[in-house]
Amino acid sequence: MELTHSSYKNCDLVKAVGRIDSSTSDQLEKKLKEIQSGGRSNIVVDMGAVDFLSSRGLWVLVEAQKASKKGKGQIVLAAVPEKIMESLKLVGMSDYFRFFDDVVGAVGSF
Amino acid sequence: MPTRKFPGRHESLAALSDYVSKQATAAGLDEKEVYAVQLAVDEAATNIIDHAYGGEERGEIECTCTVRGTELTVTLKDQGKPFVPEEVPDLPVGAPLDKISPSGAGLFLMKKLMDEIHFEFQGGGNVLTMIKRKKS
Repeated sequence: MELTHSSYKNCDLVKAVGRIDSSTSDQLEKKLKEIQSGGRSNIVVDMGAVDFLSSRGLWVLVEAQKASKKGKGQIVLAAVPEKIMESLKLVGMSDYFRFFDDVVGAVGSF
Repeated sequence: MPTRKFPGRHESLAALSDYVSKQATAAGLDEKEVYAVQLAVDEAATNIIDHAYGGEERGEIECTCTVRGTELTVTLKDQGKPFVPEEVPDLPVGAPLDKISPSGAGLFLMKKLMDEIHFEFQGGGNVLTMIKRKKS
């Protein structure tokens, strides 16, 4: 998995590419914590190029959402592939996030 | 009946995923069904590494895929400690964000994604059998 990070006026954008599983989810967790520890709680995670998300990766997003909510912000997910969205819904995790079809809409929501 | 062995570490998951993806495609499963098999196998293998073996590099995961018509059977074997599915807590689906915990998410997904799932402990190891049938 590869991660790229950009900062905007009202939010940060993290683009993930590849597999988010128990081998790679620590990288995502570290990146999100790094952003949040800088006092920024509004984060867009661009999932458009993610081809696999295991429950471990999903849990990283849920824990990060808890932290962002404590900081009066939130994590939103952009361009989630349909097959991944289905697994999010299966475990009831889609209720904890706002979803956007594309990154522009997600960044613009803040 | 192709069988492959993978080292019991998280870095093996991508190769294991590729392997079952090819077998699932050979069974004629569509893209979503192939993803369901990949995800269920990933969750199962992660549980083997983290719980049956109690950590990385403590044993192997043997994966056998059998295609029968449009049905794929995936068998995962390990030599770790017995897995008792009844001891895994239920995933608290629908709980408020601050009340949820990840325990049970992997097993929950495996049950939801596959058509059949069976656990046995035989010959000093766990044998997990999962079946996925083509729907359309």
